[in-house]
Amino acid sequence: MNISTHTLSNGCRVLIRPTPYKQILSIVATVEWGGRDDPPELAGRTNLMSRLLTQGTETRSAFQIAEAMESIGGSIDAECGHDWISVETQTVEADWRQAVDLLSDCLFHSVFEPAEFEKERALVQSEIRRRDDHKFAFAYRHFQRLFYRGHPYAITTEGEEETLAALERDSLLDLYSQAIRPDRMLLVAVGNVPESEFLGELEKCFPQPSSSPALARIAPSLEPGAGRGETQDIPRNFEQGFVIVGYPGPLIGTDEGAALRLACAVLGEGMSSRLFSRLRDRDHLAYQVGASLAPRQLASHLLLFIGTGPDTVDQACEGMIREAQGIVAEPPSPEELDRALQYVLGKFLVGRQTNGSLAHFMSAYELLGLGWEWGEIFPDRIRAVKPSDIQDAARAFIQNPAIAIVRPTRPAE
Amino acid sequence: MTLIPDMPRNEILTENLPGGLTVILAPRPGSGVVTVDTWVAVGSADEPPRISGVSHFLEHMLFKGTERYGVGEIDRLIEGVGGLINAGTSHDFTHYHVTVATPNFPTALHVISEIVQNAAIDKNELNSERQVIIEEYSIKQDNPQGLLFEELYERAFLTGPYRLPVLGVPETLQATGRAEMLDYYQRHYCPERMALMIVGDIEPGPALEAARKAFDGFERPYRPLVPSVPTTAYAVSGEHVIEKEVNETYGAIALPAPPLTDHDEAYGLDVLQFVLGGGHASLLYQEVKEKRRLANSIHMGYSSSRYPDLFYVYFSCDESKRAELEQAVYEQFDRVIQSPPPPEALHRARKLLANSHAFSLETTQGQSSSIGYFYTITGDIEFEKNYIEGVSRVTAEQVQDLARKWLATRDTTRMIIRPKRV
Repeated sequence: MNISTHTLSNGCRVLIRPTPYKQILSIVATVEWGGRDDPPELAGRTNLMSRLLTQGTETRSAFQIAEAMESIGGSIDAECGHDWISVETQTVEADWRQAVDLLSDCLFHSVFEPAEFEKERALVQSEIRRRDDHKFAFAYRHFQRLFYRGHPYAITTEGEEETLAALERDSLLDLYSQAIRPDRMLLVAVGNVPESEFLGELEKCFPQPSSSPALARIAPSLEPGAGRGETQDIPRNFEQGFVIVGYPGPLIGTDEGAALRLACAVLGEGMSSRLFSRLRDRDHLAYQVGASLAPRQLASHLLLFIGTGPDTVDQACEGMIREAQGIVAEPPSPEELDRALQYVLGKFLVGRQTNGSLAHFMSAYELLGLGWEWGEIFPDRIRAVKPSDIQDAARAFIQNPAIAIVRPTRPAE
Repeated sequence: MTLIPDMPRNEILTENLPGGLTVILAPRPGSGVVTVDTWVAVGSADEPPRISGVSHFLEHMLFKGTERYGVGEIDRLIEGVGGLINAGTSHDFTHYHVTVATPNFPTALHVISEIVQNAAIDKNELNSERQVIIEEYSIKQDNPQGLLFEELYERAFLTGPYRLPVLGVPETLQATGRAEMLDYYQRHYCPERMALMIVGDIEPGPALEAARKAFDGFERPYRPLVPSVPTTAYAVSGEHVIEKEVNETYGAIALPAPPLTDHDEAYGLDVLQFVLGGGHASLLYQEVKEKRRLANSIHMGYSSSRYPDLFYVYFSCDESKRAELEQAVYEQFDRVIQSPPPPEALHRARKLLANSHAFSLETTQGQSSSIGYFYTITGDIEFEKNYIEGVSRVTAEQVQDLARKWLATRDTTRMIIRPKRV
């Protein structure tokens, strides 16, 4: 693989990965600053700032940005996670100059027009309201608050309606000038671009960093997982209940991380996993049941989830806890382990077919501190996991869960 | 206009096997993966109303064992080689797909051929799976968008094959026993109604040979499909409101849409849809959401179907703005009816549509879905092959003519889910 790495004169790191025969170009620019860096009273500030990056620059209105991108059949989107901000473009390779021009315009020349600020804030507030109309998102928001109590991961990156209402445009401008700097940026391009011309264009379009000091991230004083051992019951007028059982997870790049990744697959990934074959196929408790391991910079978490009828909520919750603890009491058989291994590797292979997903994965590996090469190493790391490693990781992490239960209330007559 | 070249795909090859099954091969050298995907041109539109939901129920049962494999063995076979297996059911089709690393192509083909030919449909398993589908039904009832569209289709059609929900309802699921399902399976899953897609890192010759072998002797008599309710009649203008514990208003405005019979009209309708509601520079997005701030989200939808279907504008908004929002939507329709889209708007819509289509082909499953969908609806492999070129030929006058023909009526069905008043 011919991945080349570069550092521009302004400090921006650049990775270029050619993909023969494809003719699609995906560029992901990331900045290591995210929702977890917002003080609680300003929750949602980084997300709102990110969204406004594509809503008007010194020379283009929001409409002109959309029109310029869509006229070449491309897209530009900004996203804010807990750990980093990303702005992504997708175009045909031949249009790489326009992609770089628009991307740099949005990143470095945004103006945060007052009218756009007001409009975008109202839209995010509306999304927060709609988010709570969806069962999984509603349950997950409550789980996050419980599990991460006191930690910056406790609050969703969008913030809350009230914290958004308190935000001022000046505060976003301050954050913009300090956080979106080329010397804090990683740019990953996947596609066939003429390398030296591409780098030359980046040098031309991306500015030099300002001399003011960059924002420093403050490490949280609390370890995640303060809500472990607690259950939160949330009544809501849904037809179906929803349960999330969560455990802390190790950092992704560690041996324990690889072992828990396989434990997660044994438990709840795929139709032959324990949760699916037992709680769905055998006990008929659910349509939607599974497990996931969320990678984070500071700590991951292992989630087990199920949507179930109003009368089987407790049975489903107990079933999930039993199966999670069962990883220690009933170690995976060689066949089960092999199935989990193949499933993880298959998903990994299939999930990396698009240039956009490759660019995202490479950026994430860098920001998680694993290095972009992690994608090449990962299969061997997973293959090296022994059954005893899974037992050890399960003993260390799968105990004392935090539980969020959305319990259906009968509709009022 | 410069469009993306015929990007990730090589030549597409088709062959009809002696039993009537169509095999479609799309080689993608170097991709490292292969998708095997069987499309059956039968869906909820073909169901007797008494057992509405049987197509989707049957889709679940195909994973529940065959004459040769017990419950769970199919999933284990595929997942044991790192494959991803899934299925989908709609009004017009059902399809079953597996994606694996190339060396495991034989396993993927074997499993797909086994489930579509030899499903066991065990009685006990059927009774158990019914509960799982009822849970799936509950998920949809709790999802404002899911519920909105289910109700919209039921109200917008007085009669017609698309009126009833794909999932069925608990009563019709209860009424579906093994005998009904077996009869439906044997009657409809005949090779002439199926297309086997093989997309990915394969050599066409050996792959075709393997397909011939896997489906050797697969013959079932072909019986023409009769839609469950052959005549489509639309409801005359009406507003239907459901009050629910939601935080915002979710709404849809729907109008009659034609079936996919004329290819040029289909390309034109897709462009019309993008002029109005595709992308952030479209008329509805700009005028209704961005400038007038009436909607919090908005887009236009239309899918090419076998029978008369719906155009719809989906939105979320504050209830207090809804009347003005609906008016603003009609005003955007009128703009296209009164004058053809300006060159830059037409260019943007065509380019965005063509590239979105090309980008969707980036994965083997994406390509398989795209070819499979259009082949199943049209019976013509050329439709999808020519899609990008077809879209690029659409003129501003054509877009205006189509808007005049289909969007001039105000006999719309408005379906609304709004917050319960306390």
